[in-house]
Amino acid sequence: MKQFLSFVHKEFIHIFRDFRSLLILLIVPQLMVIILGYIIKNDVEDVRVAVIDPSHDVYSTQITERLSANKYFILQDEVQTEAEALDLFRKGVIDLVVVFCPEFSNRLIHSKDATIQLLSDGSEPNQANISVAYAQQVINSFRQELPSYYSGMNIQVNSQMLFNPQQRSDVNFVPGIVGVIMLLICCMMTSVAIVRERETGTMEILLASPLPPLTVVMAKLVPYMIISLFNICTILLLAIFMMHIPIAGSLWLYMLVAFIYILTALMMGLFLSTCVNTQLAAMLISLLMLLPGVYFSDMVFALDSMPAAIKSISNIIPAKWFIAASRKILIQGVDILYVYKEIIILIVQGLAFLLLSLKMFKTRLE
Amino acid sequence: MNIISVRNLHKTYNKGKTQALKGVDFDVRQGEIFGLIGPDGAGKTTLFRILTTLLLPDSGTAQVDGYDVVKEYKDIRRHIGYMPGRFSLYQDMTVEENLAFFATVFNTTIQENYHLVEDIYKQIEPFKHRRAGKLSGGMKQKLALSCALIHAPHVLFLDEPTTGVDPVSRKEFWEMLQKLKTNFHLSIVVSTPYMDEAMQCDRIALMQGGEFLTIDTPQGIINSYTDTLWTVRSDNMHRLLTDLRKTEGVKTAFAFGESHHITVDASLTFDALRQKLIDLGYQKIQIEEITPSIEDCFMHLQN
Repeated sequence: MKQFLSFVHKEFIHIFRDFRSLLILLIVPQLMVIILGYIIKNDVEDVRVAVIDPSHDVYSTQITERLSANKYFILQDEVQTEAEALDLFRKGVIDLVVVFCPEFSNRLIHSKDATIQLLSDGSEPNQANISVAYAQQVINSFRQELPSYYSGMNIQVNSQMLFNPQQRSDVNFVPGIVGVIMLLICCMMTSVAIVRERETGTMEILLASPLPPLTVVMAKLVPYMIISLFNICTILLLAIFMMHIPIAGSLWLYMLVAFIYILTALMMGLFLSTCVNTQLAAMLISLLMLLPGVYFSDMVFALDSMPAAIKSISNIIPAKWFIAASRKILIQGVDILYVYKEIIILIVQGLAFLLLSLKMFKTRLE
Repeated sequence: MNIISVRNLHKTYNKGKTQALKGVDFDVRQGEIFGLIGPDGAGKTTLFRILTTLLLPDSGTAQVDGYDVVKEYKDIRRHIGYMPGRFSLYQDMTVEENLAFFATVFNTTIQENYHLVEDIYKQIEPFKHRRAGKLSGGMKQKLALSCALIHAPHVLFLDEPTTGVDPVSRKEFWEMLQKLKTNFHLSIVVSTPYMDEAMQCDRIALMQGGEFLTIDTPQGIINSYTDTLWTVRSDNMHRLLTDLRKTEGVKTAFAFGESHHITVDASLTFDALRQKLIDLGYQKIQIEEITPSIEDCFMHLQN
């Protein structure tokens, strides 16, 4: 045990004395979250709105006025048809279209089925989401201020994203980014650290010592595990307190899933280190594993829109399962019963990598 | 009593294409300095790696400290000190951290075996807070030796410890090894490409192309050299070597730094050779008879 701890201590020395690895491990993850968070939470201002208002009656005019008074919206010329609006979208002149149903006031008071449709530009999903949310707020506040004798009166607001019907939540990026960063730290940094011992020749001395070779690699995993947990905590803190991302589910459940994912990624790194002999190879292969991690993990590209073959390939990527589980927990707020499948898959994958590594592990130089 | 015994050891690389060891046999006695002398590619490092349980031999057996290198490798790893050819310590850790780390790796402490490394470690102790990567070549070797010694090994394996080290540090290093042998009765196996260091060993094996040319004490090897050996110098050394090789009565001629070493048969005399060289137009001719060095023996055995 003393040997093990002294080895862990040595690993921390390596990390803290190398400015570059320190940067990658402790600064880049948080920076990535802040930068991406900034891009995504970038306050949407100057949303250019076009209005389609067939009736021009008292209430539809009032709502239009409120929109134009709101600091986030800039009212553009009125258009007559949806086709005309679509054309303006394509030209990039407008960001949002508010469509009142015909005879708006009449239907609001008498048949109580007045509708407003919000059309947004789905090619920029995050911005579209936010501008729709703003418009909904304006409409809601108007509805609440209606005289009480109109109670029961209802405005149905339908929002629809054009060009990209796949709606994406602005909190999606936290699970995604954590999934990829953990892959970077646990898989790449770990395998590089193990291979470095081989490349610099220190592994030769360690192998010729009574230290069990497996202890050597396990001790190398510990610092990266601790750093990963630290990163997850700071990223969550950033997400909650700096970006005000609502967390729907249990943080403890999330931490449990994250911990399992970290172990799986560490085993991946361990396995990788048994396959290659140079730090460069370890780094390149990790990057090759990182890219599918990004593509197939539903982070940037929607898996639903991919061919079935690729979808099935994506199943072998641990990041996919972690991201799926963390979305369910963080966004949908589900409990463990709904993510047990993901947890089991991650554990199985981790064990598979561990067994493969043990099989490949060399107690000698070749 | 033999601390190492090796029988008919074979090792090939690249699925048998490269033969690194072609049947090596030798014993190392308890408490002696055994030298493996040979040029690069002779198979010295391969032999070290098999003895330190880092490589498996293709065939043959080897025992270190009474244990088999294949079956009982774990026992061997507890009792050997190994210093690979390349400086293999943690460059980003300080001198003291390196030593303390290797002490814990072997389940001991610096204090416990300090008497073993004291002589050597004292010399680098003023720099104990300096990172190993920032040490000079000689100091790195002293640190590496300290780290290999800190667990009081039964046998020490040093693979080319003096390669790339300045002459003064090399001399100091050999003095340290002699002290370790005398004071602690430590068995040491050391390899070197430098023939002049061979004299420092108790017994040596001259190695070439994966085979031992001979095993004996350095003096024994020199004594077995029966040819007459001369050293020849002149103003044009390059042409001289070719001419010497053409001369009748000269058996072999090799360039040895500033002079050429030749072996001659009884028919050739100093004066006859001098006259011949003068006829060929050489000036400043010097011819002397010398006692052979290990390198001469190596050259001789090689042919």
